Amino acid sequence: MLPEKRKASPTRTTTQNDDSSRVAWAIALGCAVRLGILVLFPDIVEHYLADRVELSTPVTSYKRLREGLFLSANQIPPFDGGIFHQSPLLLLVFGILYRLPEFFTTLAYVAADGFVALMLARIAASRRARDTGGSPLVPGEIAFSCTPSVVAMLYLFNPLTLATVLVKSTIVFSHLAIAAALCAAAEGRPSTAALWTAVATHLSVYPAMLLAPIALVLSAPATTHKLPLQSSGGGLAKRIATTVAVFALAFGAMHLLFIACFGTQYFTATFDFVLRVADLQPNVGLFWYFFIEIFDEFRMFFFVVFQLTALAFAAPVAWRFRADPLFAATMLVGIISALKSYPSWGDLALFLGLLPIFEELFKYMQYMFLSANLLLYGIGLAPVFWHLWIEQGSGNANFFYAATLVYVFGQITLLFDLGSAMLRRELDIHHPETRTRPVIQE
Amino acid sequence: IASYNSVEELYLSFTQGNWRQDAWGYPPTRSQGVGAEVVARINGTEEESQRKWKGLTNALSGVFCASLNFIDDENTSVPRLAFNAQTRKNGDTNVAERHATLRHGFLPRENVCTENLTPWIKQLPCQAKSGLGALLNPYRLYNMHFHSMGISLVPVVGTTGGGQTGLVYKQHITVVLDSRTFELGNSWTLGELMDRDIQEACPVASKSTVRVVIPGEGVQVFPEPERRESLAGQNTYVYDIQRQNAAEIRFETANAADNKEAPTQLPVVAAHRHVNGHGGSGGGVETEIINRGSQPLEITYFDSLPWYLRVYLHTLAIEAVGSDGRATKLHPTETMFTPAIDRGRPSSIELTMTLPANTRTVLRYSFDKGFIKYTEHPPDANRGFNIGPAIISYRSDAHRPLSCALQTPRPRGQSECVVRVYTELFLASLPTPDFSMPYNVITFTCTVLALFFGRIFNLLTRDFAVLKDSD
Repeated sequence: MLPEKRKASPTRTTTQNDDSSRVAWAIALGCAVRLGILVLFPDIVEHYLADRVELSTPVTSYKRLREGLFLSANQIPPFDGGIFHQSPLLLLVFGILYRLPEFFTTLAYVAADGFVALMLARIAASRRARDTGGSPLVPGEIAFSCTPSVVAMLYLFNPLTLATVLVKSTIVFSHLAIAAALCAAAEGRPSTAALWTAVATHLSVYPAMLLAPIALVLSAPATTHKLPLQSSGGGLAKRIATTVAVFALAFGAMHLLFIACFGTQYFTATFDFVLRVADLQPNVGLFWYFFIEIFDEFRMFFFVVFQLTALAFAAPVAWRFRADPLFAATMLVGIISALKSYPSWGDLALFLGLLPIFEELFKYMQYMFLSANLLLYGIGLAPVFWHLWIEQGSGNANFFYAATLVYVFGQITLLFDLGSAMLRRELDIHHPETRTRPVIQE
Repeated sequence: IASYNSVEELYLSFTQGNWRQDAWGYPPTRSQGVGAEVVARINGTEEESQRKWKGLTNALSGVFCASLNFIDDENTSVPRLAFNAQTRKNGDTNVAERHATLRHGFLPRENVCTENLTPWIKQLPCQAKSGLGALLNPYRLYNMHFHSMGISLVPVVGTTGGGQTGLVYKQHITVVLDSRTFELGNSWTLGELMDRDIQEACPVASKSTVRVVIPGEGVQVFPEPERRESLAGQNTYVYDIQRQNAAEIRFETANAADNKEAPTQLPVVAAHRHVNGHGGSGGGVETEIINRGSQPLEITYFDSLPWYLRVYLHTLAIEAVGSDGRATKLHPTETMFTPAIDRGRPSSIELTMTLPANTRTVLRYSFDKGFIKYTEHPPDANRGFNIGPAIISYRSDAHRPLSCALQTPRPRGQSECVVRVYTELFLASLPTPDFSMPYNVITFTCTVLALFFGRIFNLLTRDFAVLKDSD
């Protein structure tokens, strides 16, 4: 399961074998908990979680997926109306599951989540394999200590991931594709990664941004100190070209398949819908209230601005962190989670699941307390304010909006902190004499 | 207007008040849904007929001084099952087969008042100067329990040579007045009721008659009628207005307090609809249809909800509760679902199903309340939106319902007619944003976005430099 390493020592192998069994146990336990709750307490889940807007959005809602399945089962074009905006890929997959008892759908979701955890564990393992067998990069640092099983457990038992799976939000499948793409990239298989990225782009529009770091991925585990891109210039261009070509091909093939099955309507209902924020249902992002309140003349201008802010950072972030494309991908996952048009807590869950892989950055981060607090406030207060506004009618839309502002600001702080921590660490690696000296940016 | 817009069939009505079936029985007119309703069958291709529909509604809006121009794509539905039963197949099948679409537009919040009555009266040949039109006193007409007024253009095959299809123009007005409102006592004439007098019958009219349906024993009508008829199984006195002044028809009731007689015929089907659920995020619609007859009855159910109530068609469930209290699931024989398009068209559910005898059928489905833009909320945002009624139609024996018995011209050889039952409206209040906030929202959101942009941009473009030590 773990990739072969060149400089493995016998003691390492044993530890890693132990760890791989621990990963297996962690995943089994996580899946068991999810399955248990979904099978034993479906009413509680249905009553308290299923209608939460923080967890299910118009593009990931399970209720809307069932509606789409019902419409297509009754020969009504599912993309003709205003309800169903999810990928036809899900319609095709769930079309089969729809006919089986409900238990199989539950199983599919739980398995998908377990698979995501497995992918994260493999990413952590391959990263550790890449980095061991040498002295610590920064003198005085403890050797790389993030274990794959810890990564898997932190993802599986994060309450946000648990809640997302319990409401059967289809973002789980998008995460599956993203995690598989990153895993394939980390293990040096750029074509598979491009394929998975195409799938992820069809499921939710934004993972297209991940193509940038994936195209820059290394095809072989690098030694630690050299900047890997200096090694082969021509090879790099070829790699980027192949990756982009595979992505375009996969995306185009699926696009044509969906047009054949559902007509060109599907494109307007899925991609166009996400990009122009057509349904103004509240969610934990910034866009919904903005586009409710804005006047019609400015709508087009602002949605271009917002989408550009989200999408334009793909290449710059990938380039700046080209020494560690996996980190660039993590940053982009964080940017997607903060700025996509229909975010939910599930997006944050993936970002938080990728964070423990970069455990060595935690000591460089300066705003951990602030971002943790902001996120906790945002997450904790959003349901309360929603209840006050919608159910009780004594509060106002502004309460919920304020909670979402805090939540997004917390994510942004986390992102910024992470980025500057990585840059500081890179400085320390290349100029060890600056380790104890204060630095400024200029 | 009709020929310019290629209209083959048109029904327009303005209604205020709910028709209480339990007290008043069958209504004498065809529609009773509160608000303004326009149903038209327009000839032509899809785009053409859409354009002409707009032209028709705008023209009608001008003629009747009503805001029918608000009927646009968002509240027009194209029913396929519900209204087709009205197609006249008088031996000429061309009427049904030509490419024509039937459109149904409904404005549940439209109020009816004198402004609408005046143009309607102007359409009468003698207007309010002579004949029965002189009785139409708005002060009395709008002081009522129920009021429905409208026109219809019905295609029939002409009886005068050639067999061409012509249009018959009918105007109808239905009012339920309570004599106690006007303190008339036990004995009153039609003229006293309407506070008007008729000077002479309309000279232009070829026929002018008043039919008085005697409901039961408690009412006596003077003078003696020209002839008696049996209309819908009830005693009817017929008066010819050209010889008898209608304003002098006198009604005497035995006991003024005893005016609450149950009608001799309760309609076969009764329907009620309400919304359930709590909170502002969603709800469900529940329609109860009662089949009082002793035979199973086939009905067509048509319900149309605007786009901002997002209907989940997969949650539709129908259950029939018999007189013994047992509930059974009912499956419709034919269904036509049209999902809504945001700001494009309303959703519509049409079902044909057979109601078992003597049952109460409950039809349920759920919806989510959508969030609409700042400018789409009506001026009184917290009141909410009126949602138009569901329409249940069924075929009935032509003699029992009053509306069928009064239907002229009677189609040849058609012994059945279509009766429609409209449910009540409901109010859907959507969650409102804070209307005082556009500037603040823009500022806050753009601030957060700018913080993001600024910080990440700094991260990406700046390099570190060591702070020079003082030594």
